[in-house]
Amino acid sequence: MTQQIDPRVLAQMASRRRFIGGGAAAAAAMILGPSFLAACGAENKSASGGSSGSTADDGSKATGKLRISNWPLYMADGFIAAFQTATGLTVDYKEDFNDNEEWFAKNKEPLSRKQDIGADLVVPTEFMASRLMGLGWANEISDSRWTNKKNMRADLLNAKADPGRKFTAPYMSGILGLAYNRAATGRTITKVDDLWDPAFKGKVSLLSEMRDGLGMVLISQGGSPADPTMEGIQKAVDLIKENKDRGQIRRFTGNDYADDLAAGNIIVAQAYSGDVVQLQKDNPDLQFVVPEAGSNTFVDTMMIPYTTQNQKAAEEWINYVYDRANYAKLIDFVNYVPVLSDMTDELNKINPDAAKNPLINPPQSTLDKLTAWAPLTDEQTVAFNKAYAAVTGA
Amino acid sequence: MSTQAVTSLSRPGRNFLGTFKLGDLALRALAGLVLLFLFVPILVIIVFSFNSPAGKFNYTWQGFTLENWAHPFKYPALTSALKLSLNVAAVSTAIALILGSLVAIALVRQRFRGSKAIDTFLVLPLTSPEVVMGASLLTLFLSMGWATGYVTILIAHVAFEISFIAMTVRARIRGFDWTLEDASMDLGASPVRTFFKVTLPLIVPGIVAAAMLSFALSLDDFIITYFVSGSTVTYPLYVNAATKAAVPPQINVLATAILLISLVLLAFGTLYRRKRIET
Amino acid sequence: MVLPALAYLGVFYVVPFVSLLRTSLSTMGGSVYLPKLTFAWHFGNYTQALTEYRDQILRSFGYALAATVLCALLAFPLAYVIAFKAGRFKNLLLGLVILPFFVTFLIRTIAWKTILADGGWVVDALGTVGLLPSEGRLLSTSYAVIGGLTYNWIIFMILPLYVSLEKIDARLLEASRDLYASNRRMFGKVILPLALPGVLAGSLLVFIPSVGDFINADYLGSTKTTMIGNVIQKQFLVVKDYPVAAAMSFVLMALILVGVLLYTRALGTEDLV
Repeated sequence: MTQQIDPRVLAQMASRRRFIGGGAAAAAAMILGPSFLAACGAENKSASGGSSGSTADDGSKATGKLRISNWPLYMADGFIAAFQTATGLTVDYKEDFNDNEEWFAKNKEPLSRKQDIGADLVVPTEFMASRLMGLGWANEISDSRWTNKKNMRADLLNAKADPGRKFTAPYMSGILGLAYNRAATGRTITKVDDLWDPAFKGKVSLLSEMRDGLGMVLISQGGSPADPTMEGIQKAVDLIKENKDRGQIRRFTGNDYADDLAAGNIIVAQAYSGDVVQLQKDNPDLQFVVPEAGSNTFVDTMMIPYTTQNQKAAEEWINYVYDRANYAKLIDFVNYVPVLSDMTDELNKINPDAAKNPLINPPQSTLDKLTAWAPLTDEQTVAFNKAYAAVTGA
Repeated sequence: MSTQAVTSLSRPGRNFLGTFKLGDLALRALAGLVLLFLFVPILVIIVFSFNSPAGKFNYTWQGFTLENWAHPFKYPALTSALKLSLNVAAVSTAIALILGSLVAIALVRQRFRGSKAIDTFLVLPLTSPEVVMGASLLTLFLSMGWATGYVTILIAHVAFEISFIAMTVRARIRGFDWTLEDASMDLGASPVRTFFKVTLPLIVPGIVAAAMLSFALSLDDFIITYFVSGSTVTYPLYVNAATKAAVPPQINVLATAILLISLVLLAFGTLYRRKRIET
Repeated sequence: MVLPALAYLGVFYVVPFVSLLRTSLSTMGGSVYLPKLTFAWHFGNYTQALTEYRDQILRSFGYALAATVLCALLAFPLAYVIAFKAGRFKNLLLGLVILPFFVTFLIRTIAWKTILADGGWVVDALGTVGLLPSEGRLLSTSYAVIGGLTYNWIIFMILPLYVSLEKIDARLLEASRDLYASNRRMFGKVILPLALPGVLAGSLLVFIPSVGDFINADYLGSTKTTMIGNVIQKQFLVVKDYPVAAAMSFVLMALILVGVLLYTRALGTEDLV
């Protein structure tokens, strides 16, 4: 794409930081915006039209409506509008994907009967995507349309969950770590054992989602999410239970540890990197660290359910997202870790601070410490969930 | 049926005004405190609608801004969720009002066989935990092959509202002087006329109270709606999701706006009634 | 007149209810994601529900009871003042009372988190006076959960109470004055008994949703304040053990019903609805 900074993104930046000056930037964006988009659009079209297709895809232009079901606030302002202009498709965008298990519970009946679920593209977390793949409910993503697939991070391309990424296209990834209030702790936090420090009694929170809560604890005890055993899980659960019983753990949270951290009710929390980026903007005392022994990462992936009404449009979307310049806009807004490689340049063009932020653009050394969860079997999922629920729900 | 007269009665041999005053003051003070208690979080919400957080969360005070109020509809998902909730609340209340009031009237006026059983039956939905109602309704819809969405949300809301309305109206109209109805019909009015000219006006206050309650319940409902909404997002569902991702101040703005509108309507209603009494 | 409502509830309440009952007596087979439920008169689900989660059941009833009593105590002065002393402002006050409840309870609960924050002035003030619970904070304690429950449902106590009080015939109070009754006597012998239907209705409307609630425990509670609602939610949505979840739901409902029947018996009002 061009070397200019998108004025619309500037306007967005300004309005997010302070509203002063936002008006002027917005006005500028209005004037410059459409012409910039047209330039983008032209380039996009030529890219997708020129590639040769695999036998399954007839290579014809995608038309019509695309229905997307995504997590809340996982989308940058203006991104959808830009996509619509660039491709001529209309997008019906819903933010109704709030929790993997709950989404599954609601949609598994219609899916099992091959009934339309109201979305042509969904964004489940990887473990859920594996499950959907295992059930045969996912459509292959045509490589002929997904020309930007090569931009994907190498470590994600051959994940155990979907080798070669035939059915899933990673959308955002994130790091699980420990968020803490440096001023309140009085020291830096470096390892999982710091969670159990009696000095923080009653001011610690863990995540209630099994994979996210247990991941780093498992690793700290010598296990690995890439190869989990029931004994390892039980050992981690027992340690957590022990600490819960003596009042060390205040709460088990979903993403709602954020307000407790901000208010000072919690001093050390298991947290997602993206949330901490947001919190740091208002409270620089908050720090984020990946535990010494390592931690797990999560990947949210785009997936096309086999009940989709517009396969080609969904693939166009995926391809559009995988363009580094487009993706940079998403990263700048969502502030999670890119699934595309070499984003530093594009990010620098939009927001140099984001490019420098290790939570948004982590160095390889950080990425090396992260392990993704292996796709679990039915029995494992039930057993592990039950074990953890006994601590969190009881 | 007001009882203001009591306080102004003076009786020989007792210093009513004296003893009344102290207890009276304490009572009013206490009532005022409770009212304050009700409003404290509301004040916080209003104040935070003017907050200008740099990040996506609106939990700590960062600074004053009118920006949020300038762009209340910045998040289209939030706005449409709100519109949907208002719509569902209005429609479901209307339906449930008719169904529920009819039952309430019938139960109070006519002691027919089985009315006791119906009594108990009506209470049952209120004793069920919302999780249970939600999950069981979802199973029903799925087994009948109905797509979850607006209609199923509506159905679920009417289901739990009927009981509330029936109970509220019943409590209100119990003890009314039903001989008025007989009197009306003695004077030659048809049952239908009687109903609309005599019965209905008498029970309208009860119905209004029930309607307001039902509307608020529907607007607020989270658990049951959650199960049967499919991919449709209502206002509480949006808020719940937001606490997990980002809490834009616009949520506070819109909530405050609803409050203000309700307040204005309330004021109008009071003034209108005052005028009617005066003329 | 009664038929439409009955038919509606029959389809949309009874039928799902019955199918849930079936589930509670079934065993689960098939794969995790597409389970097959086989009806087997399996009462083991119920014993499991009662033994494993006894603490949560007791706790839920305890919290709900506390919240109900608190609601009654707080609502009475307010309802009384509105009914007897408000005059022209009666409807305005009523409107004011209802007003906060047009804001979604989730937002109101989050606001309480801000107010009761560990570093906030409320906690500080109570701390200096020495009124804080043992944990040294207000949030993530049972007090916060009970407070949250009270706040959520108090409107359901105020309104029915107001309705009952408002209906008290002024002439009864006049008569009691004529008979030289003291204020206290008048209250205890005339006002309170006549307000009982309102108290009863209000108590039920507060107690029942409080017992099954999980949002307050979630937002305002800690790991030690989990209620039966939290357990049921987890079982239904995360662990997906539907038979046990269904059994727990029925245990909850049965206990509620028993409690309700006893309560209405005790208060002597046979017309509980």
